Amino acid sequence: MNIFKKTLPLAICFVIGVLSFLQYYCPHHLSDEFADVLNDHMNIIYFFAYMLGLISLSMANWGTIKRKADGWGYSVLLFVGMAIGIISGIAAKGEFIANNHMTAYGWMYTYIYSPLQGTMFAILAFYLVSCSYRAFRVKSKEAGLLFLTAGLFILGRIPPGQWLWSQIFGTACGGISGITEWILNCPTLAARRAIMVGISLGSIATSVKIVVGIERQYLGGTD
Amino acid sequence: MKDIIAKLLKIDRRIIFLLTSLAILIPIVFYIQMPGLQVTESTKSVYNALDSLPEGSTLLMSFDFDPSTKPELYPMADVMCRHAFKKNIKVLAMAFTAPGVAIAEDLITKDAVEMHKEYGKDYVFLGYQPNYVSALTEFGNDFYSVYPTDSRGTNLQSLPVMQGIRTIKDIGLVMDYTAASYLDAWVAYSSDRYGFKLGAGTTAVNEPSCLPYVQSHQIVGLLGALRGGAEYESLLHYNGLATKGMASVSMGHFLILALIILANLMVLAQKFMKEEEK
Amino acid sequence: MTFSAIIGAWVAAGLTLFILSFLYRDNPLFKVAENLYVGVSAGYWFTVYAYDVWVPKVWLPLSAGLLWPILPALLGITMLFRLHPKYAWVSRMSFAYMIGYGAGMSIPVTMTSQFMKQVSSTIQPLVAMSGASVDFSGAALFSIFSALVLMIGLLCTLLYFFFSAEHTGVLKVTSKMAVYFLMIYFGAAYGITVMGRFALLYGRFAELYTYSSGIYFYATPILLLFVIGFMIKFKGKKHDEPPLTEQV
Repeated sequence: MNIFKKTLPLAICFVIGVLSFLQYYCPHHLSDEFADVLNDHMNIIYFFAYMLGLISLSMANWGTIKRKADGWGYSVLLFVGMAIGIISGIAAKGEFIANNHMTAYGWMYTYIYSPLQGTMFAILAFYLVSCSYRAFRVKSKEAGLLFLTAGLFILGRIPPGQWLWSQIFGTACGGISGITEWILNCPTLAARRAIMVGISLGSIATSVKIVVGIERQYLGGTD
Repeated sequence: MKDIIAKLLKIDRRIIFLLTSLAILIPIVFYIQMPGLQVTESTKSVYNALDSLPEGSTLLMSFDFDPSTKPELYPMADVMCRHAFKKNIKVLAMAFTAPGVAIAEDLITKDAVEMHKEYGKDYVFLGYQPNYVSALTEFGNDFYSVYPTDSRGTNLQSLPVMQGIRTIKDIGLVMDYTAASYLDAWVAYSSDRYGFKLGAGTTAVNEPSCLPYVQSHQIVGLLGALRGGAEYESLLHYNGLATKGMASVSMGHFLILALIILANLMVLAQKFMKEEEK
Repeated sequence: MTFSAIIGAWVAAGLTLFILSFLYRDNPLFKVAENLYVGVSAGYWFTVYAYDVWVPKVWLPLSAGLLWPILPALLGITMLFRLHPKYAWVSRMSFAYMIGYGAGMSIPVTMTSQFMKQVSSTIQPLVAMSGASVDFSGAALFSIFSALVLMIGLLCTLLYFFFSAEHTGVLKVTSKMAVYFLMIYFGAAYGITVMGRFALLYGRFAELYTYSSGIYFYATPILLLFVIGFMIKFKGKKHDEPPLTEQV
């Protein structure tokens, strides 16, 4: 049984990993066809991965409703939302526009999904301002440098800030826009590039470990 | 004085939320004229890349974002689509994110109606492609193996808009609008391998991550956030969504800078008062 | 303006205000919007996967007699075994397939684009300058300076994250310099992020303002009054949370 639980998955990972690696460097048409096959296989597997998440979410909320736990009414609402999304989608066959008219699915996306998602992320702006007021303290040279750079970017990327700078300091060095461009293209780029290189080396090492079977956490479980 | 400073430093956060709301809302309600925006080299590069394309070329727009980042990326995509239609450049719209499909259809249809462009002849919607890695790899060999039909089920090769296109190398300019790591994939799996003109539009948060590609010339240029869209609009002399948004964003910037400076000055004043008492 | 657009405006404005009501205090209106968001999101993505993956890549080929989708479909079904504790090991096949593909593909891609290309782009300006004739113009000297700053910054920051040796002597100096480069990077990132967040908020407020007009029957102000009235009426449970003046 161990062969199916441990050996076979590791073998699958190794074979597919090596073939995917070789496919990138191989200019032969068979290599491209193999990539095509893998593309289609992955699409289908992602669909089932999504279904796994959907079933999990449904099971968790169904449990809440069954037990009449605290806030079970909201779980009912969750299923109502799910039904709205699925029924409108199936009715419209996944089309947002049909015969030059917005479908129910398109309506749901434009007036329910889009505003909800947009507002969830937009609300962060309020917390950004509040946190900056309460926590941004210049207590050291490093913090001072951070604040100076942040201040230059906050001012330099808006038209009134650029105008204000040009009135006080003129247009030397291309104005505040030129200065922020240089900071972005030089010291910021250096740090960003170093982080990118460091992450890439770590990512390559981890990927090699996964393909050869040293890293097995994705298998889950203790057996 | 000490008590006032202590109270101000511990002010109810809802007052700060209210100030933030007013800073964004006032320029929406009352039009405020903004001074001219200085255009960066990166934006000029993207503008020139599209402007230099001859009539009849193709612009491929990849809408790899969702409603959460729409306010930043929609305006820049809108102005570029208008620019392309103005120059009679064909527009192909695709997406690696599902919500991108709806955004693309909404944006391009609106511009096409306004500028009298015809579907299938001047623009086409290719649809959503879930596995972007394989799709990007395949683009360089055969575009139609990734998209055999458009999003409405019509055979893609039969459409006049696709004339002369076999692989992604036949496309004049590819623009990727994204807030996530799709640009990394575009560069790694496609433009680095097949060598075509790739530009990008990204959110403010993601902009520093995309800069290395600009410097290493792996992309022709980068439109950064709402500001990038406003700069592009100023080059096209078009008063669009991004330009209108800059007033609110500017007020917000002044507010946050003022609050940070005020807070630090009050902490400094508190420190001096404590030392004086000693 | 169509009837569906007017109803849509009321729904969109209402849901936006429900979410924004969280800024004042956690309340049932926010919870309604939050749970609706999760549900609608799940339903929306189901439709996307169903019509962009299942129908064109499984249902239609199988209906036409093509058998190739059977293998990935079987692998996908094994993934669902994850839900059963006794047979969860069956899902390892599909996870191994997915992870192997992702890991195998990422090695050459990361090596080329995120490592080699970045390092070569850092060295290239200096190599180009070494071959060129001497130019002491302001612009040329500034280019040399910028290229050197970029190179030094990259090396110092890479050394800062090298923890196999103690940061003493030369490493201490380079680490100190790296901290300054990182502070500049974080400051720039913060400054840029501010614009991003405000742009998102502007998008929402602009839509609310549009829906406040008479064409949409003053959706925003009426719903705003409703939310305010609800918040006054709803006292809510007493939670163990710090006073509002202590909250960030």
